[in-house]
Amino acid sequence: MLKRIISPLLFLFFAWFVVSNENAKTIIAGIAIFLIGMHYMENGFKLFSGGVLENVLQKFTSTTPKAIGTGFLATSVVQSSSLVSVIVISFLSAELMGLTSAVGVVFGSNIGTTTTAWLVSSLGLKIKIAQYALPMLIFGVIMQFSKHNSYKGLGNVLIGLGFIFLGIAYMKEGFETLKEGLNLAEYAMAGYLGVFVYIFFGAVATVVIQSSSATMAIIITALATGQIDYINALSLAIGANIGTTVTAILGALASNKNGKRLAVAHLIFNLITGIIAIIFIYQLKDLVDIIAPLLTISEDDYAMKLALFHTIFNVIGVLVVAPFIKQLVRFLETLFCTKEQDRGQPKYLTDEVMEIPASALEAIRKETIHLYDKSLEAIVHAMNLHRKEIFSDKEVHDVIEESNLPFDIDIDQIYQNDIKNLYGEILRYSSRSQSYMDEEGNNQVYELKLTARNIIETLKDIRELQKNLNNFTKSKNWFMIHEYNKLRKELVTIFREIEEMRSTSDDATEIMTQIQVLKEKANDNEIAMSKNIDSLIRENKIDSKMASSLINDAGFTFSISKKLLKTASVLWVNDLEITELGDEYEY
Amino acid sequence: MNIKKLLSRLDDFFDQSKKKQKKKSVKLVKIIKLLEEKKSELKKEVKQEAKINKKSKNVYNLCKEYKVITKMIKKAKKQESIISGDKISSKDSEN
Repeated sequence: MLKRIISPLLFLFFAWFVVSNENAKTIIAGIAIFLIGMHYMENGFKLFSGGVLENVLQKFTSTTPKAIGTGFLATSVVQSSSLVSVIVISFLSAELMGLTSAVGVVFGSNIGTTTTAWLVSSLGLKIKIAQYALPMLIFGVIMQFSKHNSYKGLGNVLIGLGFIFLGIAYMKEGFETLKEGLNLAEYAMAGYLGVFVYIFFGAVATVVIQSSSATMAIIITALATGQIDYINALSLAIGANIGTTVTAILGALASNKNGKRLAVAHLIFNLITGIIAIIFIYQLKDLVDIIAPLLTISEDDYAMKLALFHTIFNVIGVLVVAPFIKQLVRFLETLFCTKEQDRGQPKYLTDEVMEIPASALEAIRKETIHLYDKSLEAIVHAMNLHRKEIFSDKEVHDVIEESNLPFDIDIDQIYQNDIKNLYGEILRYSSRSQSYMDEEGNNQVYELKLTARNIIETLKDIRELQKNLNNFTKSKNWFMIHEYNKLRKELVTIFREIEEMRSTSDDATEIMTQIQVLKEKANDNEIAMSKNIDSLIRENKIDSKMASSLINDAGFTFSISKKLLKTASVLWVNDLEITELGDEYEY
Repeated sequence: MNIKKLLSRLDDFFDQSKKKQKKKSVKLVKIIKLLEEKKSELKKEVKQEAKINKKSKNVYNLCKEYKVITKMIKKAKKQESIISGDKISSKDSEN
């Protein structure tokens, strides 16, 4: 209720402030244009990179130093720590990257984001960058009309850069005119009180603008135009670093537990870095004065010095926190641990991943495996067996003979409670992510969707099988008990073989060969079973009702076998060329 | 360089489909080679095992694997020839 009243009031006040204050209007418009630019550039890289950035991150994050270096390079190149963070969250969600590597990338990204300050201070304030902004915008818009995703991506990047440069130019203009009427330095307080006040301003500004890079651009332009003095600017930069964690926290709210853990890591890192910078602010200022001449930065070039300060205190933060990365990750893993309260909820399908084809595909694959595991548990119980026994070292024959008592399990209820929502989420997510994929990606997602449907169909088959299985395992007819145990044995063998392939073999050709061999054997067994039923009928060992049930259930069993083998070929032969060598399956 | 040429060069740069097909063809050739090696190994194994007992489970399993690999090789060769055929036709169309 309060929010409903306060939000419009704040908006009205802000509107009045913008309209009545000419300089503020120019500066805020500059910020808005800058943010639009960042948004365009981020979207552009998503289209333009087409997975390149993701591939690089995946390859170069195997160790902490590599992860830090990669985070630094990636952020320096794309000029957006938020884009890198989103990709890292997507990797985490898709389990392509561990939390340790992800934390390393975020640390490196914190150093990488300081390059914005260098760019703005070295290029933005010395060259009339607005003159480059307009041609970039023109060519960017022309490229937008292309049908090709890569052209569009390049167009977006150009538009983004154009807006960023234009935004900086507006901000600079606003501060220039503001300088004549108002001097922010008048409000500066001496000593640590002033430092804390400006840290607070820096943090609040970053929270409001939702971009530390934009805050840094404002600080540098304000400093260059003399609105604030050097030490105020340093304090604002520290504040911006702390404020940027709020953006990450907001972003992580919608993500999974690993995304949230990463946001906490980001917060811890920035708080520690901030505390160090606050304590040693005067010493750091002296350090900048010592290093600056070595980098040919003149004594009065405070914009460049601020950029240097920003880099130094982030590097110090990494040097201090990185040695404790393992302990930090151990602590993070104790956070956001939820119980199995989210039955039927997807584990890997996060919206952050959706627009990144490679990660989205991996997330869908992992979620389909999750669906398989959930369904397998139900299938195994419907056959009056335990997973533990099936995957033990016991002989298949012993496993079957030892557990004949019917389980009290309702497949329909399991489907409604645990499976239906998960399946629906896979379909929803797949269909939405397909719009961001090329033809090959679309085909792969289509195959995964069919696999998910296949898994659901096996559940329906087992539901039919379960009814007679429970009846005939209590039957007085020994032949019927024996035949139904043969059906159970057939399925247990398939479960075991698939589990073994899944856990031991990395060779896609080998897995595919084994799957095809199992399929051939299943065909042979089906023929043998059919012949056996015929002889049981001829010899009057089973009556006609029993025969019809057995024939139907044999059909269900072999249908389940083949569907599971097809599922395995899609989920674990992670190689399109080799999957295509398998038998075609009629869905 | 006229605009048409420039655009077609840019198209070639961004269009990775030909490159992908070539990559796929190279991969299929490798797979075929690997499967052929496995097939000849299996042939030897089947002969050895059959000398001991023709109707053993081991011979049955090896024969199944042999049959599967033969099928996979056939399919891989067919796919490879389709891709190579595409390459030829695309070259032809360029000429």
